[in-house]
Amino acid sequence: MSAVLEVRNLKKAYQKGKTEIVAVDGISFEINKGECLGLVGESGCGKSTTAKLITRLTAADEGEIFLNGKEITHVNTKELRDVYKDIQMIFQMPLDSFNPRIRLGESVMESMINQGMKRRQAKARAQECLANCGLSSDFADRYPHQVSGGECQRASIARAIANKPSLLICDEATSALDVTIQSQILKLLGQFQQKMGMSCLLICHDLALVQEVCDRVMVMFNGRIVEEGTPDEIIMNPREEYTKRLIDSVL
Amino acid sequence: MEMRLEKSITVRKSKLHKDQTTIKLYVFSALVVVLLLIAVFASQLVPYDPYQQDLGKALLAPDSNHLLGTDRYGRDLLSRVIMGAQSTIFSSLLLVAIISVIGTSIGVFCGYKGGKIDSIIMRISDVFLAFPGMVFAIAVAGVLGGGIMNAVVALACISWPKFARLARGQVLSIKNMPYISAAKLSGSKPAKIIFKHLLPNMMGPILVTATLDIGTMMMELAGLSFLGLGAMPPIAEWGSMMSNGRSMLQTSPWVILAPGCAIFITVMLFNLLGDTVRDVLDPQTKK
Repeated sequence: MSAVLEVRNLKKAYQKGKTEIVAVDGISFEINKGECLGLVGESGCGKSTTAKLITRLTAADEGEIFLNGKEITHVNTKELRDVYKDIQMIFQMPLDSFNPRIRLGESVMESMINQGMKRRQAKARAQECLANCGLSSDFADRYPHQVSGGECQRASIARAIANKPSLLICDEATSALDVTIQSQILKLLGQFQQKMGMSCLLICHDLALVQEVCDRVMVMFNGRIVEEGTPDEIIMNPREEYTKRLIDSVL
Repeated sequence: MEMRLEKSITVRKSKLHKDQTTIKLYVFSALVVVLLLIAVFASQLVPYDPYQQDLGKALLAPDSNHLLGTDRYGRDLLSRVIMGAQSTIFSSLLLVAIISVIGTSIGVFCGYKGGKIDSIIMRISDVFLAFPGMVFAIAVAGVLGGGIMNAVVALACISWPKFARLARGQVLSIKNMPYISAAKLSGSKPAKIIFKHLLPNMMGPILVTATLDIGTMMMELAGLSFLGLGAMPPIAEWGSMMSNGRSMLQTSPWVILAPGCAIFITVMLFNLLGDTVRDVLDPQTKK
């Protein structure tokens, strides 16, 4: 199996006053094609920073990221736009991830128009994507505040898959939703993953959820990856002290 | 069943509210358009020549011939107020347009770019904000000489930092919203992100500040005119007309009340329009 994403020795530190906070401390991992990798850990352990580093929304201090074998850590902004055809992200707060003044359909179309697609084609494709995510075509004409959180997150998925990326990063994509909607969204993600052979990095703090959908799990603590394995392995036989605590803390 | 009932009620409420703001918008924009039309066609509308002096008719109280009375040179005040609308409204609008566009551009640039350039420009704007504005405007206008355009330039020099600060603050708060990240991930170029995602979401406060500033700017222009650094004496301008009538407030109050009411009505109209425009622009208040 070939690796879709390979991360080597990634580091990021933030300056806060005079102290330096190391958010991500030299992590390395890879995601294979069609694989769903879970990344769990408590808040502030560097999960979201990792997602931002991979998508280049934040610049890394050190380390390299390879997407489909191509180094993307130092590409310029123009090449970065090509990278975004292959890598997409779903955010935690569904409402905040849509511009409140733009209709959902328009937001979904944006990436396709940026890739040079004609407006009419993009519109048709956007409606197709929304339909695939279980939203009827009139959702394209609604504003984000006119739909529920779950519907908004579906639209967010539609936007992410519109360009058929090879890697989808879900940064706590289900944390802001209630339990029934969570499972619906996860099912939807699972469907797309199978249908399109997409890889997935699922950032999450809910172990049960990870156990259900992920092929492999990494546990992150204080910016480092402390444990890695299949979900069952980790939950049944945690080796690290922190992992044990994490599992015990599940309600 | 109960849920459905509740939903239908909210829908009805939102309809009512939306209609009201739209009606308000139409009314106020119609009134502002009327005002602007009066200003544009001022020279056709005036009943008398606003510059024709007739000392025999000086300081006449309002009557059927001179609806607003005459000033101390016997010029018809209604004609002068109508004529003054032109210079007063257009110079204020021009001034507000200049400072809001320049200030916002600088603020957006600084907020979006960040880093050293941001610090340098913001320190410069601090200097402008720390200096007493009117004194600086008088100095600039003094160097440039009299004339309404020079007064506009002088006030533009001192007023842009307010908008730069406001715009920068807005950009900083919006810049880290997930939808901006999402737009970046969609492959949008910085220009598209700024014009499509940033500006529409920060225009509300800027628009409201701009409309509220029309009144302030009108008064500051009038202040400069009073000092002889704005509109030159024969030109009809509300601010300078008020200054001229100041000394006659007790004997012939109409000389100051006519331009005063004109300013009051104009400023209030622009403020109401600004508030309504904000309500309409912000889809969230339509709820």
